[in-house]
Amino acid sequence: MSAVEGDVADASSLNPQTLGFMCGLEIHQQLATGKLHSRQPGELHDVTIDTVPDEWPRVHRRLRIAKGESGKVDVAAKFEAKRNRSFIYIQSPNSGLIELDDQPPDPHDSEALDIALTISGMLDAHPVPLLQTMRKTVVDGSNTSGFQRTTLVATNGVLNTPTGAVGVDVICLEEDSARKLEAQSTANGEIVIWNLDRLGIPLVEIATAPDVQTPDHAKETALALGTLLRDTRRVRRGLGSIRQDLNVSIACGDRVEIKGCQDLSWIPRIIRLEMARQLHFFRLANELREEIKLPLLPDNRDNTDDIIEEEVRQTVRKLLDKEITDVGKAFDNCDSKMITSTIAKGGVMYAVRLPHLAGRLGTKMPDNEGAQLPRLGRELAGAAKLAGVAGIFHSDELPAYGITEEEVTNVRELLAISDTPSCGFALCCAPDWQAELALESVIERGRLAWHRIRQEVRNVVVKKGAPEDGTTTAMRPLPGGARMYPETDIANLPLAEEEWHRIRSNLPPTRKERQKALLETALGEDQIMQLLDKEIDELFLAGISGELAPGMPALPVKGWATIILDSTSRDIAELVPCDTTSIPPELLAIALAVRDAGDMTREGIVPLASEFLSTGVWPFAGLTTAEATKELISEMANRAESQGFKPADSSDLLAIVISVLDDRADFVAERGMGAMGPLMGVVMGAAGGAADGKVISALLRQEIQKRM
Amino acid sequence: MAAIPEQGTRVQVNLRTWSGEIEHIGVIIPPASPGYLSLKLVNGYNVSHPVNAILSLTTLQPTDSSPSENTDSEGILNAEQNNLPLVRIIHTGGTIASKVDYATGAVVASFEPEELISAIPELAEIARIEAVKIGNMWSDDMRPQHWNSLLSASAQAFAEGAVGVVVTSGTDTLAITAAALAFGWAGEGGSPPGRIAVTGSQRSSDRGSSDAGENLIAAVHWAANGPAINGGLGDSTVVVMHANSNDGEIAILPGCSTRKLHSTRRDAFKPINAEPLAIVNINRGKPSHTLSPAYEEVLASTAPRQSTSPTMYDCKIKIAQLNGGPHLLPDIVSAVANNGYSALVFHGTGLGHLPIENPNGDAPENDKLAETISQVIAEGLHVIMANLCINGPVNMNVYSKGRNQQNMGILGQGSNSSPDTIVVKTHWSLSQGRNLAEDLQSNLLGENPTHIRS
Repeated sequence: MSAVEGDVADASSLNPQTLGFMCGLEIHQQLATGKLHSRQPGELHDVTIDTVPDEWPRVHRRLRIAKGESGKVDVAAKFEAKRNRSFIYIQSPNSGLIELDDQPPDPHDSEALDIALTISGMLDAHPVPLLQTMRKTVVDGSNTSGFQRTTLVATNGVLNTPTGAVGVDVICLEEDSARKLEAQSTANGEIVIWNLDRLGIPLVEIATAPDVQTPDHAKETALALGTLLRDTRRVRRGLGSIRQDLNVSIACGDRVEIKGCQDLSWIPRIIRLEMARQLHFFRLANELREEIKLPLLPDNRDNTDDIIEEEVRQTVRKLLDKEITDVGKAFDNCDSKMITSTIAKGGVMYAVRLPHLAGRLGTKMPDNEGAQLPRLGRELAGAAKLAGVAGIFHSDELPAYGITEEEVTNVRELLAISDTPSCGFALCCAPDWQAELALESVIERGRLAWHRIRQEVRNVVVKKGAPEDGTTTAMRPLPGGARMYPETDIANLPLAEEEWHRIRSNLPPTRKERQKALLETALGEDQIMQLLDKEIDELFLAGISGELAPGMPALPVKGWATIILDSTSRDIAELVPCDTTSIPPELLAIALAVRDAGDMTREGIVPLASEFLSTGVWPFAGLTTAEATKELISEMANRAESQGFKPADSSDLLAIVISVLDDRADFVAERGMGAMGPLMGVVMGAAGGAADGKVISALLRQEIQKRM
Repeated sequence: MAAIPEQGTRVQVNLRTWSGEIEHIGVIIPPASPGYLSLKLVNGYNVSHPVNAILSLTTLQPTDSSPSENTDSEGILNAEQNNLPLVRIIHTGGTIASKVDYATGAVVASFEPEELISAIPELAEIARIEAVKIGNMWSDDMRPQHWNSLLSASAQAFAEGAVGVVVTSGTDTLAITAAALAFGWAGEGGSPPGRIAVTGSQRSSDRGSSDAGENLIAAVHWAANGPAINGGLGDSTVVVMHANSNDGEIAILPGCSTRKLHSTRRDAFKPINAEPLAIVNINRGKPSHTLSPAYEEVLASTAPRQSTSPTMYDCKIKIAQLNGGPHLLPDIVSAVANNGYSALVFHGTGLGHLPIENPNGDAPENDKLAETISQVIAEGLHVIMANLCINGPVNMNVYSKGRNQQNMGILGQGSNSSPDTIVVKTHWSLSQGRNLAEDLQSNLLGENPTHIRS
């Protein structure tokens, strides 16, 4: 089988080995600390463009793109300048002058650095002895400064997966970006609105070597990395707290970085669709080359001849010129509201010729599993959208969208291609400068159709929070290492050898190791899993061993697991009222200890614990001495007694139950066991708080049954 | 261990780390710290290991030149558009014009006109740009002799046909330089032959978010297209910097009444007891300006000043500055007088006050300070009061202490000038042998307005 065989419409059937599949992962994981280079809290404010508070200040900025190294104005920089994109940064409560790029950064958050080193240790990596912060140029506005700060922490690690070891090239500590709230397309250029809450939250970036063997192995690798990161117990969790980028290539294609693969189960599909896309555009390039008698692309990119490629580039450049034609008069009587209203607002309809591309732009067609097949037309539209327009119309999909056969004929006439059926065209309806820019970028992308796909960053197309079909669109060319330079505002930080050894000898246990420790406690599997998921197994173990606080007795295994897993904390918090996270576990422990000693009913736990907090009985600094613990235990027992939460003897309770049943003999006769529910409350009321609901329920059942 | 090859060499290095051995391939760059070998890796990171951790080092062939992406150059913009006005940019230093050397990752100053225009192509559409470099220094290292160099260089620019001059400077003393140039050109009632705009950047120009580009565009725009100098509201020189934290809005501030009031923000420069003369808006790279109503009115009602030649600063003149407040003691005042200073500017608290009274009888240093000041004034030292509050007037008439200070011979009563301007004005007046007491009372070029609006 050759390296360029396979059915593009059946991505699942493509053979990674024969196609020369190469893949590596880049994982970005948020750390649960304050921001990396400002001392702001690392918290997220989940606002939308509609709910962002008016009082949050806004700053309007632009980014100036660094010129090319040759000292000449390069096309990408000119494109950026021309499209006049600007940014509005909304200052969330956890952002200040540093986030606004109005103040130089602080040194690294020491906690974040400690976590990054810990992860490096877990991956058996080699630490960098002198930490140097770099600036990685980012021009999409997601960083107010125009760059992302990143520090290489360790190199040459290894991750073990069931399928095999995957090398870890680099482990870095970097700043997360701002969050996009909205992108508004205006006649004066795109305005992107960002929330600064996430900007500067520490991320650990882990880049693997291209050792991933298959699309499924990529998913396995992502899972293994995710588990390892969570094992630190110091990473953020929840939606968006971990992001996977995939680096994918096949031999006849080139390296593409795919962003936005949040859902791991999609990873193999996304990779296979990218393999299909690379294969499709390799074949298209050679088909186009053949047609105009240009030398073909070799099957493997390693055999590419740069001199030939440059010649092809020059030829194609002449073939697809950037001549833009105003074809507005072809649409004088147009039926499309979109077109007439844009033109009425002063917009234009411009067109460019696409020689040899008629019939090769494609229309939207599904592959065997329902994903859009790769097609040039979609790539051209993607290139146009980067100019800020909604899209383009191209000849393969027309007539459609309210554009008639007659209008198409008129356009072809105006473009002087009526007699050249092989020549396609693209139309753009927008303000003049934007239409011009969009079509220039269509031509740039069209020229690339004669070449191997370019190295670029692509984004998974997302609809309603999930991948639409696993296909991707182009974002920008892949930045080279050249876009990185030192962050001169942060001093280099030497790492001490003892520090590294301290980290290495204090690596956190893995989930398996933790599970093993829990299995020894006679706790059910369910509760074990819940403790691990909630990351409170250490709290649990400390409780049952009596090590939770000085003077605290060892707590009952089941009772302690239940009280820290169930809704008790939430119920207490509601009553105080306060945040659930501010309920001290030691308070739960005291309540449990009092109850376990038979001095308080279950019903007393929530009201008395909340009373401890809301009336200031609970010591501000927590339990620091055995005396304090004992004092609080006896205080809670006393209050339980005085407030009627001391368990009544069951003989007393039985008397109450019998008296209640006697008073309502008719009701009991009529309802039978159905009377139990309504009578629970009556008995509870009569017993005061001193009754255990379980006990009452058992007594009631027993006594009603007797009467039936 | 083999000797380390020179910078720029591509090498493969085997290193001992605290966790074993590793290999790196990269290009040697200047060491990040003494005793380290620093490499730029292919992924762009700089990595540094102690030289004594090197196990072996092999020199490799250099790789192909930089990747071909983005090199589809469409040529340099044409700087020779003859009908545009000529503006000369005089560079003194600072990061307004610097670029990244992607080989070493270092930020280097770039100040060839072609480089400037390629970095900020919009400039070529505003004016014909000439650029000269008269130094490359931090503005905090500037001295009065550098003001004189700038006065000469700007005179030469006008003599050679420039309609305006842009001075680029570090920001620390940028506003003081602007004031110094204002007095040098316009103190005696004339004006420079064209506009002088002083600008800089608060965020280094290597980053996409730098304010340098827009500040320079606005400064060149003003130098090329601003109104004829009138002198009324302090327009003899202007400071051109961001008006607020937003991009796209650049303030034209009177050079004689501006101060840097924040160490880091883009909009650090604010007018003191004055208002911006104009705002330059930049939209899609194109600048346009709106004059303030007050400036518009002055321009309409007063004729432009006659252009003159600049007057220079006498660099032998020594001026001391001391702050009023709880720690001002008399010995430092004596030291000033005994060390050949011509003038002492006090930055007095409040309306311009010094600790010279002793109502409880428990602060003899206050009595001594009053005595010392009277003595040094009697011995010929010019003692001037400026305002430690920065904003607002010096008014030594409100409290009896202020009146006492005036009686002691302290100058500067009633000044509405910014404290920096008072110092510069003192230096300029003494350099020209003028009557300092009178000059401090006068409004020579808009630096001492008759009223304060806000």
